Amino acid sequence: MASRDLLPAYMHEPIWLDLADVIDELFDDELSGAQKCMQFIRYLYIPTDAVEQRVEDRLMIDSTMFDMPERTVAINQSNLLGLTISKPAGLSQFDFVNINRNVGLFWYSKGTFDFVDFLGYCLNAELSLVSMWTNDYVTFYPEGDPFLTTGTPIWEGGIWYPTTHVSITWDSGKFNVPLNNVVSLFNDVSNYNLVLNDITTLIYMWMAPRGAAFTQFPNKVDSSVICMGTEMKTVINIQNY
Amino acid sequence: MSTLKLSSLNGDFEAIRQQLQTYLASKESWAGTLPTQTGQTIIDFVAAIAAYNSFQNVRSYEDAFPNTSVSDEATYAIASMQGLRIRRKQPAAMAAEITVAAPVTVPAYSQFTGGGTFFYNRTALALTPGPAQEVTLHQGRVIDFEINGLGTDFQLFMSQERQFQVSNNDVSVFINDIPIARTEDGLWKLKGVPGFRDRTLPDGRLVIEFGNGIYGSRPSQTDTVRILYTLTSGASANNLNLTSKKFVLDGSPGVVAIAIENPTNGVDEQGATIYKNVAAATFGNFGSAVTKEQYQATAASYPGVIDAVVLAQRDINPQALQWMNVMRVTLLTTTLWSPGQSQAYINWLQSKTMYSGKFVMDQPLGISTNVSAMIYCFNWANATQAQADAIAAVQALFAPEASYLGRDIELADIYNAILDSNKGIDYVDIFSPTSNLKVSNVAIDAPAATQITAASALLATTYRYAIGVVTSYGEIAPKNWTEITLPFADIYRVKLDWAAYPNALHYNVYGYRPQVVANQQYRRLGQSLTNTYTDAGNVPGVYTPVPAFSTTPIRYNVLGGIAISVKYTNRTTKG
Repeated sequence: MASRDLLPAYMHEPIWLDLADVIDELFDDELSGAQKCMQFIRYLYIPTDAVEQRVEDRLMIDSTMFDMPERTVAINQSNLLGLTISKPAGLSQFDFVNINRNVGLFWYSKGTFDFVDFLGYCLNAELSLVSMWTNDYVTFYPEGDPFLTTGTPIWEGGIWYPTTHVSITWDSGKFNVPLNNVVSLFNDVSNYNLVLNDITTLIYMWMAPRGAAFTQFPNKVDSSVICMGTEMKTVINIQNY
Repeated sequence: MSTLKLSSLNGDFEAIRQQLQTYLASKESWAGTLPTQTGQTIIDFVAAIAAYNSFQNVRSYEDAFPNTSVSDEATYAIASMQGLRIRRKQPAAMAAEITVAAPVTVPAYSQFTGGGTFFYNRTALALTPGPAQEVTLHQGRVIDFEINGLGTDFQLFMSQERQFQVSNNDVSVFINDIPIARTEDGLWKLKGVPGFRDRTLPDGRLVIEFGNGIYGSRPSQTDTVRILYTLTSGASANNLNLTSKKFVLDGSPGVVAIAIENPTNGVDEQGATIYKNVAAATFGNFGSAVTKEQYQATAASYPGVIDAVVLAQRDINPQALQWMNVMRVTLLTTTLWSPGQSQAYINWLQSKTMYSGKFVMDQPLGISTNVSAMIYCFNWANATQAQADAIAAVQALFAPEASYLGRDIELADIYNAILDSNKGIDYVDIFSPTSNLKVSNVAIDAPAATQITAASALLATTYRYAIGVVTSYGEIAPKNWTEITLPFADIYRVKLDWAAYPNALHYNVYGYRPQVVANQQYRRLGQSLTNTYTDAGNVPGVYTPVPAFSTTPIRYNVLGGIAISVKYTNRTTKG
């Protein structure tokens, strides 16, 4: 609604109507924008004209086409929803928007192993978590490690037992967050009794014969060198990181 | 203390106009203008603009909270943000009979039309000639179309139809003719599973959220995405008089269903009032703690607790088996607790945790400090009052409150507290303390690393360094690492500089030695009495690992004595 619509009938003269329009135009920058922010402060998807056009045309919509609250507001929304990210520097404005779109639902399954998938989903990364076993509380082995098959669990008379130490595997190609922040994010979201033992980063390298149709590979780079394509793992112990 | 009021906002044009007239009536400059038509017109104009903006603010304020939200859309938005899925309409169903002359298979979600409305079948119908076959049809119009993906993460589709018309239970998506999973939960529950999330916008539109290929589907630009949903009238279709009415299958006039009952069990969307009542309560189930943040908040919410610090194994000693599933709680309480009170607290905290963790109590260590200062007042100030205000301000600064455990007090905090306590104070000289009062266990910042030319045993590789601070209470473990890459071996040393830590006995320098066995490469390199160290690449004979945890106790600042003297300033005196 425009301000001119609120003017009494006797003021429906061009001089007052134009003045009202000018004020609306001025307020559009100075006041209305802020009022729109306030109006949509609880909305997870703030539609734009471009979005509405794609809705009208029945087309898919890119998630970044929506208006987003400024980063400070997005962080405050996250705080309000109960998730305080202690090191927000590595996260983008969209990361926070995506977290806010999902964190409300996440709390309903808090305390389960869901948290690692929630983190991976919101940050658009491939994360997986595995529990660690030990027989001396010095060296820890991930559950499923072939070495463990040679031992016997403590409840079967052996000396091996599961611990609250865990290991995260992280696809560094998709997750552009400094390692320090990965640790911090884990601590923000995970069950407090868990101890992050190490992080494994995965680096994927694709192999293609020279001249082959390697365009099918992600992040392709043409090179005169044919190198070994493999999946590399870098394991970083983060206890002291 | 004043109360900031939003509740007094109103968009009442008349009230604003009258206030304007009242205020202007007291202004002599408006005495001649106020009664004129021009004056009244200007007042009306300003009042109209003010009323409009005031009303906007009122609505924003009201719609920000579920208890006061006026529009249903705002209520739904709040509920959605708090993790509740908004339920849409559900179609009414009825039984019908179909007789066919030849075998025919009717695919699921085929459209039947008749009786002034639409129906569809949820499952495929395999019809054969002979006696009439009874089928169940649901009320609604089928929307079925194909589009292409975008190839981007988290792309989504929004329906054109608002007002919760899209059936709550009848949304399907196929990618290249293969159906994908539908979930009303988070997409993170669909790891490695092609799928989408069915969500509802506050205005009642359907949102189909796709994932990133790891969690849920990520349709590419070449993928054909078939979207199928139905639009239903919900409860409005209940008891429509349709018995014996004919419903013809679209495109197949020979397939006719005859209703043998009126439709029932249609359900409308869940009303906003319900979400108003349940959203906050459901979201507020944080009484059970899981994350570190929630444990801290829960532990501090007990009556008589001023501040609490909860530490689990990862923050106490990750390598100590005895701390597995045990948490140490350090409290600052309003009074000294008896053993019985402490046990009651532990029992209460135990009931707030989701897993079988155990709690043990620990006492914080108070660090006493005397404050001594001279304040310089302006000549117009009441010096006695300024002195009393300054003392009160320092006492307030050291008064225990939430988040006081482990809170450092900087010299600047003391200075500002005194200066701000009375406008008559010009400046302050602080005699004691002489350095910041550090009681936190926060690791110091990463050191600055500089490459300097000098013979060394360092290799051409990347080195990493961090500093541990040793105080009389223990060592604050290093956490913040810096790194530097040396281009050539043997000719560079690395000079490290860091901010001095008050009352540090010495600093432990930790770093990397690539030439030793793998599990001892990160180790203590040496000690420094000052806040600088130069690494020449030597490998200490004894291996000392990087500490995983601080050995300093939970501490807090205590005001020992306070002595504040007062003088008049001579800073403004000329000559």
